[in-house]
Amino acid sequence: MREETRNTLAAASVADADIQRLSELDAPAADDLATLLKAAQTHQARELKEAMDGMLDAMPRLLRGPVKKLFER
Amino acid sequence: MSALLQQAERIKLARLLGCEASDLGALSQCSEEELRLARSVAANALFGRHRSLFSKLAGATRLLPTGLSAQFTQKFIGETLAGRVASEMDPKQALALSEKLPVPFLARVCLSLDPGRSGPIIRAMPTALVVDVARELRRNREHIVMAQFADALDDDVVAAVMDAIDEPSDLLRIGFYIESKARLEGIISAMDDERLGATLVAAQAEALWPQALAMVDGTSAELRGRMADLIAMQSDEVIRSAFSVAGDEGLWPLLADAVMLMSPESRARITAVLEDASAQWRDELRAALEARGASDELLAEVAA
Repeated sequence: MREETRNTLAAASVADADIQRLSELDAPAADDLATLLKAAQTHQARELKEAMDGMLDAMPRLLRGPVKKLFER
Repeated sequence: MSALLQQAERIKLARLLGCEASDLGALSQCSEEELRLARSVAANALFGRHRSLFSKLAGATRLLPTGLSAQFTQKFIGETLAGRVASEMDPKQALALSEKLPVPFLARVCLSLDPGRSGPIIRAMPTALVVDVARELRRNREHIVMAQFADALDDDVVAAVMDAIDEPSDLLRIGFYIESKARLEGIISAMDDERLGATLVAAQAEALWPQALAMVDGTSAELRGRMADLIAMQSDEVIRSAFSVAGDEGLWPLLADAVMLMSPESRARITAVLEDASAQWRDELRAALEARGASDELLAEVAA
């Protein structure tokens, strides 16, 4: 596996043990997995943010503060 | 393992990564085992992120009475987040909450459950609720999620779900994605000949022969033999459609396996259908039989 791929996977929160397991894949396959995983995480983060914003918007104002605090802690 | 099981793994990995199977690039050349490894690593990374946040939300909902928590979940959290939050709940809490939520909502929650952590929660659900949710998932054509369920549930619950699915083509679509061959063996073995035969008619009618053949690929010789005999019991049209798909999709090794395992009477029936069919099919089947080490006697039977 190329060093750059390893770094991309680590940045995408892939655990060291899982990166080790991926050494079974050939380099181009690992590259493509890292790229697709990064894209999926970007999409997921956007989707979760929208869902979280929607959740906070829908909440009575009184609840918003404590819930926001809970997530920030 | 066949190219069909590899294809099932490609589709599951693509779904997890939110892309089409055709976008997998070099990953699409990987073996079934490598694809499964890639999916397991990707799932760990995708579901591991933000886990502490969802765990906090699960903790917060625990503080509310269950009825209020169910209202809160539907009104504010929504199904996408609820799936992630439920994955962080203990099975008891998730069960109490699920009993207060409507089935369509629960079915949508299932789509965002963490497959690696939701097994105990799924297993804690009462059979009737699982069946209701499975019906809803079937209506929404969520066959991959249903297959995940089949892999996680106990035998008797899977049997109840399968009994509730009356469309034979759905069984093929779900079976195609079930990972555990032991589970698949149990499901197919529990089906009587009439029901299993209906899946073969559906395979012809809905262009699902690859799914039908992949479903039994890797199961015991006894089960494959039974399926092979059932293929031979179908109409000429259904049998011919199996040969046609084998030609188009390179499935001759699987059909050769079936021919080798079927009874002499079934083989005679297949040979009779082949007599009226294209000579190319006969040649391709013979070649596949030879490649699988079929006896001279069997090869002569097919050539006759």
